[in-house]
Amino acid sequence: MFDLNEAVAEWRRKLQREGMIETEDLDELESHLHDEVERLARSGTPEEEAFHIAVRRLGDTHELTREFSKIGCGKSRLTELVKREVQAMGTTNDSRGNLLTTLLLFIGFSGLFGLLGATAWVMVSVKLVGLSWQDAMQHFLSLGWLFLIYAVVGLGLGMKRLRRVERKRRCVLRSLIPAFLLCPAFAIAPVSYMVIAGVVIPFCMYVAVRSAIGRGELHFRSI
Amino acid sequence: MKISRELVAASASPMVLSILARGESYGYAIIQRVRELSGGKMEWTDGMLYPVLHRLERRKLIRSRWATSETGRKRKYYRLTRKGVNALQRSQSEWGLVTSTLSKVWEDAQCLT
Repeated sequence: MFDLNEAVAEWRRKLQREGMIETEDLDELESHLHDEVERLARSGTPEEEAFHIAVRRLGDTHELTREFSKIGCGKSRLTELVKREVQAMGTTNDSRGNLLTTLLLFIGFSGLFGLLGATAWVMVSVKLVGLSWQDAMQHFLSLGWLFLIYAVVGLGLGMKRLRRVERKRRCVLRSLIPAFLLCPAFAIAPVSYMVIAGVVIPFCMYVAVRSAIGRGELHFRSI
Repeated sequence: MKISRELVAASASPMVLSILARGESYGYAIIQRVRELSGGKMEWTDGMLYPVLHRLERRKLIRSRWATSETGRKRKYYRLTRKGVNALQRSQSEWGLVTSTLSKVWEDAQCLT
């Protein structure tokens, strides 16, 4: 037996998983959907058929998400994008291709930020803390080669894969944000194994949390 | 006759502003009005209207408010701002110029054929 409320809730969840449409906009689209279903039902269309017609008229999920993602410009759009991406991290199931690309880019960006962080660490240590150039460089070199490998391999392979995946911007943002947030940890890591732990453990946690949320075992409310 | 996607996109904003010039309205009613006025020939994908409305709101040409409809459901209503009225007047002049120019061009073309 067709349950309109359940069908609308499932349609809404599907849009929400895409992560680009805000709750208020979803409310508005849902209200539109109800209006159209009611109109069709009044003209004698069975409720289930009316629901499917109304959904088709509203536009498919990807089309709607793409149009909503175009709203805005400049700084406010960037803030909105980052906010939405962070919000959507826990709610979207990506394809394997997207996930692998995100992972490679994450490693690449981590390496890049690690290199920048380690360089900044050397400068600060020598200029402000008074560490000798030799000691500072020794520390830098103990980490630098690993960061460099991460950056070259991760960004090299990630960028190559990025051409083939569907959601390019999402892959970049989802790899860039956690890598950027972890940057300070990389900069002060005393030994190279900290780098491995610093990259692998947070990312595994991120993937685990996302997949748990994707399966409905965890729920995030919008930020 | 199906109107091209580009023309639908270009005319969306003036169309919405013109409908709102007659009074406060909401997304679904705007879509219905467009269908009615075009005799069903102008088909919008319903969901595409909302990004247009949001862009107009961001440009402060329209303002929105949530209210409860007669059916008891929450609805977002839009109305034109003063800036929106000015934009609509400008838009009317621009579209007027385009249509009159096109008419003249087509008249000339008919004379030649």
